Amino acid sequence: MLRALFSILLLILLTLPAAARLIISPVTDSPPSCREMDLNEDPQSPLHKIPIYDQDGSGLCYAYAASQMIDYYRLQHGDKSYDLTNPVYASWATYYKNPSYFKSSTLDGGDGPKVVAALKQQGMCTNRDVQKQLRQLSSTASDSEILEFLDIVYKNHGGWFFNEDWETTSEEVTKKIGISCQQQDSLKAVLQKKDFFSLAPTEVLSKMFKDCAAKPVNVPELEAYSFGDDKAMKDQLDKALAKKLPAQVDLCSGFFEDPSFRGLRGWSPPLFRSSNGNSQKGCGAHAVVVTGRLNINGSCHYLIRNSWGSYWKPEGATACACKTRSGAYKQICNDPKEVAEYVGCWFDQKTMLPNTGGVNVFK
Amino acid sequence: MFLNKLFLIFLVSASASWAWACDELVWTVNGKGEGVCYDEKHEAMVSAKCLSASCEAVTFLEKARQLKLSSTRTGTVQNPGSPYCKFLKGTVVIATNERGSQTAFCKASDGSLVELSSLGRKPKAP
Repeated sequence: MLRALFSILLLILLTLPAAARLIISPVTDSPPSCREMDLNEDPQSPLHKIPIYDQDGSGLCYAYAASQMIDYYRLQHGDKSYDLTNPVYASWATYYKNPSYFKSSTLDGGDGPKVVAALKQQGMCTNRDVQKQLRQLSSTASDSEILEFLDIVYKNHGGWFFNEDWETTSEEVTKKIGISCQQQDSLKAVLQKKDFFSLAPTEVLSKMFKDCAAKPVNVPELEAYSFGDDKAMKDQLDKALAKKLPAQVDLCSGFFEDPSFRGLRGWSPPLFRSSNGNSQKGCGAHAVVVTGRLNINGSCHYLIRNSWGSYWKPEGATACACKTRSGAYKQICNDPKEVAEYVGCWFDQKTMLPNTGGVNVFK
Repeated sequence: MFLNKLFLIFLVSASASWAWACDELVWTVNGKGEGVCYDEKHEAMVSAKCLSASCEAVTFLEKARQLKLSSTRTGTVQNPGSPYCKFLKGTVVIATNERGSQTAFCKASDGSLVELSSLGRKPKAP
């Protein structure tokens, strides 16, 4: 009896890895429209030098996506004029410093092509310098946490909505952002000392970044494609990948968790796909970067690189790509124990394209 | 007889390695390095200490999986684990690894961590 049990156990152990490979497997013989193209495969790929970001609750997805697009292009072309494009600086430079797209207080919600256009015009402060400035406010909170904190403080203590009750503000901060009361008090003290307390976040950033020497951003403009049917969206994605470039995609994020989710009404053509009228309630408008295409189990998939952290592995994804603990890139990571960080997840085009509002590619 | 012994040795060593084998990944949270491990039982990254002793982060996971909280898709999109962390009175913290990559954890009052998005994820059926 025991011997039989042992044999069964041994058989399971031996066949498990093979079975796992059978469940999700790339198809090598694919039609041209879904031939494998993965920008992460090359060990020298710029993607390996760009971190996986977590934008937290900030509405800066567009800036995170655009910054990664810029850095990919720069690194691919050997541009060493500065280190990395900081998304917080990028959004501020686009929507506050630049009079063309001016927003008065919040940087939430924006447009990737505008970020690229603005940075090309105004240049970019190095990430090192941005970090040096932001760390003066808090040495421990992340960039997006600082920005969210400033947003809440301004909402409660600045402008027309003046409120002196710090406890209410602190409660709201605790509810929305993960920074401790101790961190909040220290941030508040720094802001008061610098006379920044209750200023709009955009104003605070202006004061922080005023002496920063901008470096040139030498990338082509991002061209936006938001008209046409799903195939038109796919064509733009494929064109970018054929040029070994990523694409920035505006989409309804509901399908990340639920593959049956449809965030767009499908009114195009000829309507603007990402217009408010074309989005269903609860679309969850978001911006991401697409870095690959792969035929998995006979269906074409795109690799989405998100800004929701290194362990983003949603229910609606067929599989996720990762960096293993040994530092190697792996297209399909089935064993969570080998994962150091996920670098993107594969989504079936049948789910992704009907939720795609627009594709932005380098000209 | 020999096979029986072999089987017993195999079982003992396998369960011991399951309980203790943890190749820690270090994430910096609020300026402090924290070791996290993959907890196979709960299918989530948790503080390394949670694998050998009880901790609140694992309780969070167990509680979250009994809950069904709706994730708001209006306005700013958020990590699906965020509503669970807030409901359980945890704190969302952004951690950084040596490569500069970031990820969010839910921090419990005993200081233990659980990877945020895993709170919103239901484990696969056995």
